Amino acid sequence: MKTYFTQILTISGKDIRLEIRTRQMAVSVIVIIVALLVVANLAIPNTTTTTTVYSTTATVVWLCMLIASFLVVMRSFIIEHDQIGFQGLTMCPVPRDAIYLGKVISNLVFLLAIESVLFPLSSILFNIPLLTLTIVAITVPATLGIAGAGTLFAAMSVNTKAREILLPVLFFPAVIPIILAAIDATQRALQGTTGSALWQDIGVLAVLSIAITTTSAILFTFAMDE
Amino acid sequence: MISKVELPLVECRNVSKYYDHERAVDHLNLTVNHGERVLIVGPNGSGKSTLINLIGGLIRPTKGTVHIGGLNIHKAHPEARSLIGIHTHNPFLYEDLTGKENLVFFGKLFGVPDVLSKITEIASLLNVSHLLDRRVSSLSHGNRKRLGLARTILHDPEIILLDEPDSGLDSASLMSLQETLGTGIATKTILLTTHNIDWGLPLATNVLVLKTGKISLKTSPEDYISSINQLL
Repeated sequence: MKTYFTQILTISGKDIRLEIRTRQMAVSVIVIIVALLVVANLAIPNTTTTTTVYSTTATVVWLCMLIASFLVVMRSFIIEHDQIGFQGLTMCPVPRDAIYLGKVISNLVFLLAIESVLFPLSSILFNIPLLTLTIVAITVPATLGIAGAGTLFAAMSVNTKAREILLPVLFFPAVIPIILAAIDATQRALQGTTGSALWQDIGVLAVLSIAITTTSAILFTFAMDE
Repeated sequence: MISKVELPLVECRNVSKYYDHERAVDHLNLTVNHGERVLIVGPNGSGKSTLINLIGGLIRPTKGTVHIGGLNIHKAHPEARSLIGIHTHNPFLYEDLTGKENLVFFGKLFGVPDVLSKITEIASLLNVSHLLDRRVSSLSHGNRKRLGLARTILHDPEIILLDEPDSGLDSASLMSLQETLGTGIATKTILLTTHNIDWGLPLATNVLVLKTGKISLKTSPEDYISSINQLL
């Protein structure tokens, strides 16, 4: 069991080390989300009501995460494909689900790092309180679900000739339920909703994310063996 | 632990591999026992690299099965994979990591105990110590191959699969590699492909000649030399 966790952490640690060294993904993702936020901010009229600003901001923030997560999961497998080929990992005596979980952890770390820039920046630009514990409670399970689904579909599509087409076709429909649930929960949190309605949303997000990640771990094993 | 008496270490059972409709390996049966050192020769396109990749579990056969120590390598048996060290045209090294970081990474995945001292030992054996702190992207083709070989034997595998390890190496490196294979890891089971028969033959206990994906001859190095001489 110790070996299993060591293997997971070794894979995720390697991904994080590679990204810190090259910063290829961070630069492109940050540029895109800053551009999206600035455009959205300029497009919203000053006369808009607070409720509309909350709704719009929640939508914009999670759309930014949708695009960022696509780039992150794609990049995490293109590195494997370009540098050692996915065979380099599969030749090792590592259970396939350990490879999957290692990749999910590194993608989760990257996405949480992006959120640590995205949320404060949105908070400043739109002048809304996005840095609260409730928002964190929404963000963590939603990000886990996105990373879980994205990792599976990126692995499936990276070895195909049409990976740029296949990944969005598989990835976006799979994560739309998570994105919609996250937008809904974020809007409620911003509007000051507390109590059971909000926690119900967070609960749905958590269950959805755990279900997607568990199913993806099982499917990943089959996908890699084929 | 695999019994050294009961099971052949490598067993290909009626293995075929097609690329689209092109046949690379054709109904091939092969058994390799502990300690055998098989030199695989044949013209380009005869299926040498495909056979190495099939035995190493890197590609799946279209038909048939490959067993390593009695375990089907393509059924995701981590035990079977840990018995193999494979070195192909791809050195399987991350370009943006240093040599040492790569070896630590693969050492941990293979569960090598005390990985840092093992790296020092292997680097000394292969004379690659000076490459350990350099990024792989800055290394020449030959040095990448040498570092790839260090990765291949880092976890002390029972079976070493080498697909043209001599290509791109200068004469000093060739001599050094021959010495390493001949004495440094002499007890291992080795399957080796090369076009440089003069270089590979002294390392072999058996010679396997492939032609259009089939074994056309399996013989000893002495008999192989005799048959070549007769042809000439």
